[in-house]
Amino acid sequence: MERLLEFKHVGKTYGGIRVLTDIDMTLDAGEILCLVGENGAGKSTMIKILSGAIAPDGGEIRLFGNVYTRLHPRQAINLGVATIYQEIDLVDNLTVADNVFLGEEIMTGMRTVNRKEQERVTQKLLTDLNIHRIKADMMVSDLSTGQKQSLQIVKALKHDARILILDEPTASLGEEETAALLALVQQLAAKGMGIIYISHYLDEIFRIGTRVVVLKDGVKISDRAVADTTEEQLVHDMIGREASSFYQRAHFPLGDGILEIQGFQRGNVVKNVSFTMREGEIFGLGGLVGAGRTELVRMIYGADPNKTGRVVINGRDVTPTSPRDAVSKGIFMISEDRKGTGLFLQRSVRENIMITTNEKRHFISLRKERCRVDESVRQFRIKVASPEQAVETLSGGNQQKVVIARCLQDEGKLYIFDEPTKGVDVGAKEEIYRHMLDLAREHNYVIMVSSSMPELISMSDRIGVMREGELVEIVDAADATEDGLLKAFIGIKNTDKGGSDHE
Amino acid sequence: MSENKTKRLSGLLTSQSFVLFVLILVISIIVRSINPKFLAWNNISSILRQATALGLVACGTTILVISGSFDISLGSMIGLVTCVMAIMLNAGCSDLVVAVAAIGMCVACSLLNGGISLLFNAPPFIVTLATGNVYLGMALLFTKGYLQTVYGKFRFVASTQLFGFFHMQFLILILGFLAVHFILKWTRTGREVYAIGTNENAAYISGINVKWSKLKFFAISGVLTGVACIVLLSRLSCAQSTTGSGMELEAIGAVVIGGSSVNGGKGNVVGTFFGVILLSMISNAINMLQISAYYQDVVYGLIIIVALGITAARNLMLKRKAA
Repeated sequence: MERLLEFKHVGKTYGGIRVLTDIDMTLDAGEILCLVGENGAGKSTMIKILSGAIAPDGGEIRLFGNVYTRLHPRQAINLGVATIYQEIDLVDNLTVADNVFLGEEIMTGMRTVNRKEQERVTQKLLTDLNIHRIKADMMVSDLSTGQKQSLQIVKALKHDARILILDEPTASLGEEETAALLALVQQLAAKGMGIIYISHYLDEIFRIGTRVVVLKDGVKISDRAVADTTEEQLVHDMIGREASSFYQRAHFPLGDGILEIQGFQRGNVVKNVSFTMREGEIFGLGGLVGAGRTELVRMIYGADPNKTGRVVINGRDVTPTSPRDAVSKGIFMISEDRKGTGLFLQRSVRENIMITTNEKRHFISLRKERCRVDESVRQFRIKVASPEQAVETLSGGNQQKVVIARCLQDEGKLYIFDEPTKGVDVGAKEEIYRHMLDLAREHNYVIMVSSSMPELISMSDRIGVMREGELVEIVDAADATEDGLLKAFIGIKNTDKGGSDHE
Repeated sequence: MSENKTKRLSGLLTSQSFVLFVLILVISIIVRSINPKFLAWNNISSILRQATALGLVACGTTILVISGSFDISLGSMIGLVTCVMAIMLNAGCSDLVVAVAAIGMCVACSLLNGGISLLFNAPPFIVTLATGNVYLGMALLFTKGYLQTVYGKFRFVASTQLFGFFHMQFLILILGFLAVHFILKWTRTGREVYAIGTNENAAYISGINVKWSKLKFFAISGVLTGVACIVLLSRLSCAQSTTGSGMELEAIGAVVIGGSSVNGGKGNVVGTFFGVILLSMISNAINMLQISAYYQDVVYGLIIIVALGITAARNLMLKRKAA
């Protein structure tokens, strides 16, 4: 079989941190090579090198027999390397054919776009690939997400690509669309293309993959034929230990203090939510996306208008009127949207950590500030070359640690974690859990919104289930099962006893 | 330690301020070789005096630009306030009262700008475009379009010299820059400037009172503009509605030349200082070299474009270095 691609000792360093170390890898024609690993393992760096978006700082790339030290984006495309990113890169208000030929329109003798010819060529491409649901003259806005993904592939193929890179193409697809896309990928491989396929879903790898490479912390851990491996083996390679998505947390006696959340209400989004929790408790909030969890905690934090809701700690009303008021009352929130509402991306780690606590004084001692930041960087094990580094250059896990470090600079009482481990790798996850548990041990109140079942079940003391703005059920985490919770989220009556000891 | 030092040194060498400093040196040497009087103390002093008012306005504008907003009414505001000051002086008000009133009026106008922008959630650019017209019109109404001379009154700022050669204006200029540098670097207000300019939502969630902070920024800009009015009237001894016209854009130009980003979140006042000096020096050099004054605006524009080029080149270099 023809060798299309070979990486030899390829490495990459970002701001003093090695993200890719000495990678050797091959790709043959007709192969579907799957690339797996946790967030920050180096998968996207690898495909960026291959698509020419970044230059490696060592090693060589052998592509179709020629050796390169780096590629440029145009060059990669012209050589026949097509990359399909997760974000869809199509113009909604143009037709399928217009999109396929965008920037390279076929012209008539009159120097106008030759629509007919474009549509004919596009239709032929679609037919060749057995894509029958998409027609060349359809508007892209009328296509489903899955069809758009397929169209992106079609568009890439127009350039006679011989290597196709797919970065989590099925992340936002339903089951049926996923199947269609996987079939398309297999078909292309059968025609002799080399495919590099990145996915978080291990089952897809076993459905279509021929070989699987596991990356961890920028190092290639294993390179196996899919037929000779198992899911457990891959998970083991990825996390470097036995698979256990359930964190084993310590439990400590709860304190006497009581926190009451009373009557939070906003239109149809949050409907009269009340609950109480005890000192040292971690209260999980589960539910489907759009169930009103984030809206609820934002109101509790004072970030959104709130007329009726009250936050009462030991009989004292501490309802915040604004985030500023919340912070002064010892209520902190780690928000769900790290980039949108959490971080100042272009500013330094130092400023990001200190912004909240600096609000307490008018003048800032740079020396004291530096000491404190150094201390936090150590304590939270934030991987930085220097605290002056811009936060945007850090990995997701380290960024999240920065936000958490900011909220733990001063004494507090109530801590709200909204999706604390979203986009965070396994190692950082455990550290974040440990910080949450420390807070609980020190008799604070912790509210945790999470969409990850294992996280909800293993970290919470009790889990509140929200559905369409209502808090429908509070479950003891010890009795909760993934199955039972999911049914509660969706609103199917639970038949088994586990996890329905109610309102 | 030595690695740290070289890092700091390389940081300094690639900073916008350093590039501007070199540019200023090069231009000075070239102009001096044609007209040796260029670097005489008398002329340097004249450049600095010319720079004072613009410098103060640019200081305030630096804060606004880094925090992600603008005030393009400043020129008209200066026109209005200096006219009112002149009218007050001629009506017999004391210098001190007039000076305090100037700062008060500028703060009030700036707060009005910020307040309207917050109230209607409208971009400051548009709001100050509107209020600028109002201020200009008010100045015309108050003066009926006539030049207001103060007949040698209110000279204390322009005429005071320390040690016989050091104009008080320089001191004011330097104090203005030091104050803003201090605010940006060592105070919570400074952190708020950068935070709000980078990500307003995150600033709000972090416990910053964003609206209050924004008003604060406008107020600081107002104070500095007020001082600029005092310096201007004292130096010119007269005022009219167009006294400060165009200064707001020159100030924004100086800020941009100094490397601050008009998208907010990035920049410092040291760069602005060099930007202001560069602009003043060039207008002086055009005089000294007896080039037609009409070239001045052309050169101003070109300098801004060159500065943008330098900024872009530096960003590219930094990116290369990081990658």
